Amino acid sequence: MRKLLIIGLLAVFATAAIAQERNAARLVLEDTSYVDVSLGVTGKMGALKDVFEGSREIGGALGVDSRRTLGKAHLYGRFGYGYEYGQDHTWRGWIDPYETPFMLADSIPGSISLERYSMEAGVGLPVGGGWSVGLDAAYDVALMAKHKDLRNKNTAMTFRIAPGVSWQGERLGLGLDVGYERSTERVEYMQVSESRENVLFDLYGLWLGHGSGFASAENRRMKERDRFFGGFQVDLSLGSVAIQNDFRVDWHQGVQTEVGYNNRQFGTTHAWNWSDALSLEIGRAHHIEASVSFTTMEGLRPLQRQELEPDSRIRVWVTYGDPVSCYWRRSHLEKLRYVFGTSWQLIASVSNMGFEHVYNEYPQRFTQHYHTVVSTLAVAIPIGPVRLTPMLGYAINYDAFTDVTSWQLQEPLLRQWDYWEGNNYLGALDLKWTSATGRCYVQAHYSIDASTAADADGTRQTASVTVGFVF
Amino acid sequence: MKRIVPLLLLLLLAAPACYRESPAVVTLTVQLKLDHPEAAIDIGQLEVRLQNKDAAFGYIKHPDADGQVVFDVAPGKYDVMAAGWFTATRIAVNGASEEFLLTTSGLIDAQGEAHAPQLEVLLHVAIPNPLIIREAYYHGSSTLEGANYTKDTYIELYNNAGPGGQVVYLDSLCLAAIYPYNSTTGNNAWAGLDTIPIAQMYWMFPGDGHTYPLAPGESAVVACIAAVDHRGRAMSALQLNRAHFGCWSETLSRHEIAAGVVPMVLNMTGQGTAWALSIHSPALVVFRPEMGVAAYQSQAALWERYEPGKSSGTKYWHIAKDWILDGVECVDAPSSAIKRLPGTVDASYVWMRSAHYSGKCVTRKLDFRAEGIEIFMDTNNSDADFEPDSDPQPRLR
Repeated sequence: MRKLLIIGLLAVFATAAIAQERNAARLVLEDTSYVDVSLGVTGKMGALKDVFEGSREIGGALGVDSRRTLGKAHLYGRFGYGYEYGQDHTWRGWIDPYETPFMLADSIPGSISLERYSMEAGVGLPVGGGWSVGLDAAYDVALMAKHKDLRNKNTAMTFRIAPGVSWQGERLGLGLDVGYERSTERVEYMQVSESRENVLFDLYGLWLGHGSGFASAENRRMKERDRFFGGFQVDLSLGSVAIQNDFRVDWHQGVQTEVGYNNRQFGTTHAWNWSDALSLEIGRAHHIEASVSFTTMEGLRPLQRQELEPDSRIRVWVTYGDPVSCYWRRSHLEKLRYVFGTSWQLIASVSNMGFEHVYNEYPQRFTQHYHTVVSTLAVAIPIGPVRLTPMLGYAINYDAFTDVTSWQLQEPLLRQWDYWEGNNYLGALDLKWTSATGRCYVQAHYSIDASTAADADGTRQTASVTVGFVF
Repeated sequence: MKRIVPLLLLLLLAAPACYRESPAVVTLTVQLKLDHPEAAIDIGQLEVRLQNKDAAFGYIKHPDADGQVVFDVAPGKYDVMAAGWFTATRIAVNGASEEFLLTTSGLIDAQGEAHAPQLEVLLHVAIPNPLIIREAYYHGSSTLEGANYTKDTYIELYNNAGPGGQVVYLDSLCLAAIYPYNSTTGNNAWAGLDTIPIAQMYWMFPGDGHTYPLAPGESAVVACIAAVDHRGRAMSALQLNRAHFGCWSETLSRHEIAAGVVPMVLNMTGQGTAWALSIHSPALVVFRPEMGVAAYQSQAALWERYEPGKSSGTKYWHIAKDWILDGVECVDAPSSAIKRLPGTVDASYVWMRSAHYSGKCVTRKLDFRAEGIEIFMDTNNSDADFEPDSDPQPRLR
């Protein structure tokens, strides 16, 4: 799912976060009670990979989801733990290297381990007259470490809180939620070997940046981000037609600073994200999902230099003037998915995505733009307790350009671009077995993404198995 | 419902908000001024380089007949270098500014003063000095097993006076690297001052004043750490046991010297086991204190000082700019490079494009030969005078 991975990674990285958000007031719409415990393993391998991915990756995940009704309160809770281990990772200075153009990174391939802990809780409370209120809160922690010089150790935290309100009439339902999210990530580089000098790169977009010999005094960086978001939901039921729509918007500001006392800043980002997801059900046999999202980001670099602070007699970084805009990113994603059938199902989907990156430090200007369409066709086949879903697809890249100049780090730039551009065959097979009581399930997934160019990057294969128990 | 609808409208109104490409541009005017206006040069032939210090971007323009250059660039941290070499008259002219910040509202100079975005750069006519640094090998190489190796570094001095030129006596000349050790250090606390600090130690050539003559066309190679044969140790295979001089002192445990190599005389502040010569960006100088080395050392209260603005911490020996006979500013890369040598010594800098420990060095470009003696470029502008990434070819004994 190479193109889909790019979409997920790059085009609307914030949409992934948005997708986790919920209007907790709407928990009251579903009167349910369960505990779902799942355990899964995932493996990936193959040369057709993004520059930040490992050549081989394996991961395990444990998740516990629960819904309960306690008196009038509708409760939701989730705990998740994930562990990933990958080989030959390069340039991965942040856990999500696409979140910001500013990054400290090194080029030496090495194994990376990544642990994630996630906790989320929500409560919805009806208050009469069809109205309900709710509160959703989440706290995630992630720890990443590279096991070869230069070794980066990343510690990340995300806290989110989102109150919501909902009104449900006979045919019409409305919901509104707003929220705030604070996330931080600290990276610290170290070197164990004393016999080799490694180079640490200060990157600031489109593989522009400069490298310098590793110095232990300048190897720590803190990334902080404040995000404000809101969503508006509409549900409409007209006989056999059911419409659900979720419009979301969020804005964030991120800043990177050196860890320590000296006021050094590396860059600031601002971003807007909009998305709208529409779901339409016509009878039991027709289900249409359509979504659009748009992201726009600006990156700014501060004007700073070190000066002697008269009182403390230490050198600190002093900022002059306003930060200078230098980086812009715009991306969009449109998806359409149609499901036909009740037992056997035909699933057709098409998505269009594109992005444009610009780094402009006048009179120097560097650009990158890319557009692709991914179409897939799948059939869900019920065979007793098993549901088998084979899928075939094709990703066609219809517009791609990147600057490749001597100013840029050409090796990772070309490696990344080689992965992005070009067309791909997609194939997948999903299998789900559910026990007769519905209390136990097994999900298996296999997918392959193959470049259409015979001389290109080969394939990327993903396989996963999840076992779940529902109480 | 009446409350929800306005909120929804607010969200929809926010939708058109978008960050559009809007680069900031500042116009900087550079005015060149000759310190000797009577020098007959065509100022329009000079190259003026505006170098961005946070990125690798550098912009080169020629001034108009009045010596004025205008740059339209993004706000940032910059310095300006101007240089010209007039072959017919054999006159070199160069000048450099200190690092400055260019903001949307003006120029902030090294002292923090705000000005209009206009800059005056004083041009100096370079006066050739017979003694030059011909080659500097500081990048290091690798051991036969592939580990980093830095003990094979050397500096070669050369008498560039040409046929009939003066003989230079090395006796009591001093060799040093300027502090900060590396060009990648945030900034230079000594920028704009008349004295510059020596990093940790300096080395004096021994002799009674007439012991070590260097005739025109002759070289003297100084091994910086180990004046020994490196053929069995490092890929560079340098036979520095055949160097003329070796930086050696029994107080520095990592230093080595072979028989036949003349040991230099050490003067060091603090403690250490070796000369901490930067492997990527040393600023090297040859100097002679005007009062003589013995008198200089006896005036520690005057010449050994703390960093400007500080009254504690490390003390550094300082030298006056005028004492420097030759110097070369080697930086890791132009971006983020601080300038440690004054423009009168080196108006620019040279940097290696190869990776650290590449076994490469910086070497003077040959200007011409006269009567079999080589004359190397010496315009006090290392960007024009030196060839980076050259193969070490020390002229050993």
